[in-house]
Order: sequence, then C-alpha cells, then structure tokens
Amino acid sequence: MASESPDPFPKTSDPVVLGVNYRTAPVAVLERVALGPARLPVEVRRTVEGGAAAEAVILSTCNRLEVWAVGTTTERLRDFAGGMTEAPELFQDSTVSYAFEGDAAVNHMFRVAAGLESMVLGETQILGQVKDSLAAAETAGAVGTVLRRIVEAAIKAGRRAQTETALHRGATSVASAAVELVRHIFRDLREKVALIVGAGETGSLVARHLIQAGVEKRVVTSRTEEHARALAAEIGGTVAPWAAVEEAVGEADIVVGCAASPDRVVGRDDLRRVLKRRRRGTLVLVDIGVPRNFDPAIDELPDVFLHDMDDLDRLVRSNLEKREREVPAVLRILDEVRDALRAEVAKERANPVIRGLVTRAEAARQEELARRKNQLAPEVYAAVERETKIVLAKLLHGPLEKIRQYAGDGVRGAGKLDAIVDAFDLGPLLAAEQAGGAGSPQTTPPAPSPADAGPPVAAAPPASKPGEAPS
Amino acid sequence: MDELLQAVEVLLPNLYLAALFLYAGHFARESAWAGRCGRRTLVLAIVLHAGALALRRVVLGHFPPASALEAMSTVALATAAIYVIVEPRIGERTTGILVLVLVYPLTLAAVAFDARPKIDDPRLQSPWFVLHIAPAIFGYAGFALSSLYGLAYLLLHRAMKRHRFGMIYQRLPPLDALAAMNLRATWAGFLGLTAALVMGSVWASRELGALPFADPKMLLALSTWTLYGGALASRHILGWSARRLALLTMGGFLLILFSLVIVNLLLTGFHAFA
Repeated sequence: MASESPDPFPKTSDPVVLGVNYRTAPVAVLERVALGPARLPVEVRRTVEGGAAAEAVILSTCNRLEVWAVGTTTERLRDFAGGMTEAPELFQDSTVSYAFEGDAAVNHMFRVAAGLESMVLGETQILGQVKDSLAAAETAGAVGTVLRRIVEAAIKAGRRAQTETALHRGATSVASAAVELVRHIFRDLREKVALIVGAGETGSLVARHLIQAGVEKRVVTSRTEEHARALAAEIGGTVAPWAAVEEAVGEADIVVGCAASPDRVVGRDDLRRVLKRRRRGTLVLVDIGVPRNFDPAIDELPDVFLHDMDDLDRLVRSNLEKREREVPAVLRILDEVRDALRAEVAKERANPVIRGLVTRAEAARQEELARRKNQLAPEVYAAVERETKIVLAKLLHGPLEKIRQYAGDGVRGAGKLDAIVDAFDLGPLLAAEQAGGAGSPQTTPPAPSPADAGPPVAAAPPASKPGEAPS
Repeated sequence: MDELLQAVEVLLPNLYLAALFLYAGHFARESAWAGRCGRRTLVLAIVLHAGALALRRVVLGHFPPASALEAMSTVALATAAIYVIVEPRIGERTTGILVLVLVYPLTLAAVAFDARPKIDDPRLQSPWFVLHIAPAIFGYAGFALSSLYGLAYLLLHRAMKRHRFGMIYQRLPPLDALAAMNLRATWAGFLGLTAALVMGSVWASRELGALPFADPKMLLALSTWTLYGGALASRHILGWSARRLALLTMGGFLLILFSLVIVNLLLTGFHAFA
C-alpha cells in the first residue's frame, strides 16, 4: 500500500529555465520586458505565491529576462511568465523565447553566470547580476534549499571561471582598448596628463575609462567651448582653448581624439614645432575620430605613438579571440562544479532510502534470529547469523546500487525511487527520520557486506537431549 | 673537493638552462606555474653558482674573478642575483627570459672553457682585491642588465611604432617601466664602476706608486666609464630620449664584451693575473 508520508522526492524538483535574450529578441522587445529593481522582488514573489513554481529567481538585465525555477514545468511557467511583462505573448512564442529543463537548465544557468552567454564573451557584470537576483529572491522569500544550492553553485562556477581562466581579460570595446594601449606605454597613469579632444559621448566614455585606469589630470578641448566645459565639469578636469589645441597636445602625455571634425585637428608640422619645446617624454595619441583627427604622418615623429581605429579594432578582435580560446578551460570548470553538485544532490536523495532499506532488512533478520535463538545450538545459531548476513548483503547489493543511480537521475529517477520506497514500505521510516533529524547530519550505516560474515563454518547438528532424535 | 667542484660546475649551466626554458614558457604561454618554477630554479642556480665560486676558492686557492672566464662567470652570477632581487619590484617575470639568454651562455662558456688555473699572484690575497673587484663585478652586472632592458625597450618601441600587437606587445612590461629599469641599471653600473676605479686607483697608487694608465683593462674601464657617464649626463641634462639611452647602453655593453675578449686574449698588462 502506498505510503501516506510526505514525499521527500517531489516529482517536479528538476530545475526549469524560461527566458528571452539578445539573441532571440530585438532590443525593442527586450526593452519592453525588462524588470526594474523595484519590480523584481514583487514579480518573483508573485511567481511562487501564485503557484507557478515552488522556488524562483528572476534574472533581468538589458540583454535578457530569465526565470530560473524548480517545482514547475515549462508549460506552467510559460502561462505565468507572460503576465509579468508588457509583452504577454512573448513567452508563448518559442521562436523568441527558450526553455530548458533538468540538466540542460542547470547547464544554462552555469553558462550565464560564467559569462559564456553574454553579448561580449566573458563580461563580468553578469555574475554580480546573478548574485543580486538571488538576493532579491531571498528577500522575497521565493527561494528555498533546492534552487538556492543550484544558483550558488552557478555563482561559484562563475567566480572560478574569473579567477582561474583569462576569459574576462583584455579590452573588448574601443574605449577600453584605447586605455589598454596607453597602459602598454605608461605603467602609472596618476602623474600623466590626458587631453580629450572632442566633448561628445565617445569623449565622455573614454574619459571615464581613463579615470578608472588612474588618470588624475584631465583636460578637455572642443570646438564648442560650452560642451568642453560641461564634460570637464563631469570628469573633474580643466578646459583648454580650441584655438591652442597644438599647445595643449604638447603639454599632455595622452591625447584622445574623438572630435567630429571633417578636417585634421593637429598636423605633423604643427606638432613637431610644439614638441621641440616639450620636455615631457613619450607622447601617445589615440585617434578614435572618423574622419581621423590627427595627421597620420605624426606617427613618423620620434617618441610619439599614434594609434587609430584600425589598431583598436585589431586589438579588440585579438582579445576576443583570446577569450574564445579560454572557453574549453571554463567548460571544464563548469563540469567540475556541476558534477560535484550532482553528486551532492544524489547522495542526499539516496542516503535516506539506503538507510531505510538496510534498517528494514536488518530488522526483519534480527526478528527471525531472535525467534530461533533458543531453538538452535550456539554454534548453529552463529552460523545462521553469519549466513543470513551474507545472503542479505548479496540481495541488497544490486538494489543499493540502483538507488544511487536513480538518485542521480533527476525526475526520471525520482519516480523509480518512489517505487522502491513504496515496495519496501519505507515511508514511515523516512518520515520518522525527516521529523526527528531534519537539518542534522545523517550518516548512512554501512550496508551489510559478505566480507563481514567471516569464513563459512560447516553447520553442526543441533544438540539433542539423550533419547531424542535430532531435528 | 675537486670532484665536487666538477659535479657542481656540470650541473650549473643545466640549471640555468632549465630556468631559461621555464621563463620562456612563462613568456610565451602566460603560464604562472612556469614563472614560479622558473624563479625557484633560478634561485637554486644562483645558490649553486655562489657555492661553485666558493669551492673554486678552496680548490684553486684564489678568489674567483682572477681570470677572464672567472670574471665572466662572476658577472653572470651578479646579473642573475640582481635580477632575482629586483624581480618582485618589477612585478612581473616576463623579462627573466632576456636575463637568462645572457646568463646561461656566459656561465656555459665559463664552465666549458675553464682550464682551472691555479693562480698564485699575491695581489689576489690582498683585501684591496675584494674592495676593487666586488664593485667592478656589480658595475658590469649593472651594465649587463641595462643592456637587456635597453633591448627590451627597443623591441617594444619598434613593435608599437609598427602597430604590431603580438607577443612582444602583450608580454613585455610597459615602455616607461622598461625605460626606468634601463636607467636604474645604468646608474647601478656606473656607480659600481666608479667605486671600482676609485678603489683600484688607491690600491695601484699604494702598490705601484703611480696609476697604470697604459694598462689595457684600465683604459677599457675608463672608456666605459666615460661612455656611460656621458650617456647618463645626456639623458638627464640634455634631455635625450629613453630610446637613445637604450641604444647607447646596448651598444655600450656589446663594446665591453668585445673589448674584454680582445684585451684578455691578445693583450697583457697590470690586470693579468693568469
């Protein structure tokens, strides 16, 4: 008869991922579905309280919206998830959304946390976003032991990928490549003077990268003085007059050209004249402008380095290729962490059933032995005790292996484990263990082994009283 | 003792070679493991090298840098030792390969061509010998390092001027760091040589009553001192570029090596102990 005790292995405990991202949907669509920081905990709580999933984490970034859940199915999640966005039909459309279950879902979570699914391979911001999403779900009371363990393992895998591989290294944008190039010339940027030529969006972006790299002396110049002042105020710098841009270049160590100018801003001969008076050492110019701000002939001047968009593009491409070469090492780390997680979960599922089965079998054996103890001579009793132990060990060996196998087999295995629990009526035992020892470390008693029984001994005939025939 | 010295001198170049391969692995494959093992192997080689020179003192009866080959070996040891001390300050190990490309062949040549001369010159027993030779060894080691960093600077400078972003660009320290190392090593060499010249001059005055200006090694040392002194003055006073100093220091050290070979093989004079 099926046990009425709580099912320790819910059939739908496999993880599920449902989402849309920059690969499957255009930016305009992603903009409509993005959840702000205020809405995120609300939606994740609603997902769990509304019965769509037992546990849930929602990851919402500018490039993806994903629901990571357990205790649900893809279909149930699709029906529910549409309600959290302004595009309810989105998650019903399998050409725009994607879904994973079980191992594939865990694999996807790990890949996302490691930066393998990001628009720029190896970007590190996503790991922080996954951590924040887990924190938001914790605050909303939407995550429990099962999903928490999986997401924490994904975060661990992502962190290991960052520290043990070079997946995240190397500049992958023009602005960061410009700074990286400058760092190959100057080790310490604190005492260097950086001049930004052009006060537009690119100038602002490059300036921020330079500040992050340690540049403390910032100068801005622009054809429109008002724009130069605005950018200088934004980055904590000073303004140089546009009319004296060559002099400003002469007094700088790093010059970034990002002005939208049809003509060259600085020519070679003008710069040569200024450099004669200069006592500052190496000068590096990075020309991000299209058309170029600086005369290419400037590159011929000694102690001057001039790099343009071609160089920066090559650097970015080279860095991305290096990141691609790190992917196999990252995948090995993900496999390691995932295998460890799988083994841990399987052990936790298997151990109570193993304990229950061994306990039930041993109890039956002890009951029979106790009944026969006074009827058998001591040496016969000892032999029976040994042999029954051997028989039990042989009988249980196969089923215990199967239990371990089913425990590591997700939802498929959970059903088979249930069948074993049912067949051997282990429900009450498991329920008692759960009720009595929840949260405390459980050890599995060693399963009886044929080796424990010692060498077989020939059975001696039972002692008989004088005059009585042996039984 | 003789057998021990022989065994140590056979092992020594092989240790430097092993360190060279490890530093090459660190440079080419960005292997942190190779870098760590390379440093440990290099430290072991330096300790063994110092031990070998001490053993030579016992076996041969004179302080090591009394012959040209011994001087070469001692300069190699000093160069490696200074690099190992300075490496943590540089913060990276990518220039170790350059140091070993110089240290290994110098050590190999010193061991391979060594005739184990037993030199009985009483001047070698004078404490003035140590006071003169130690800063000289340090000075030439400084010039050796400055030439290596000069070479590294020129390689990176060339790569960037030609817009090449291969291994040289990716693995060498920044250009201004190489320039700084080149300048510091040049100063170390210049100050060492200055001290050696002063000590040597005082010693020679006491022994000979006059300075042996006609001695080939003395002339070479004075020329070297003038060359490097002029380079440093041009850098600091005239504002010569780091690239010019790098070229001068590289050329200067090549000249030293070439001149030493000529002087030791062809000429004799006050400095000839062997």
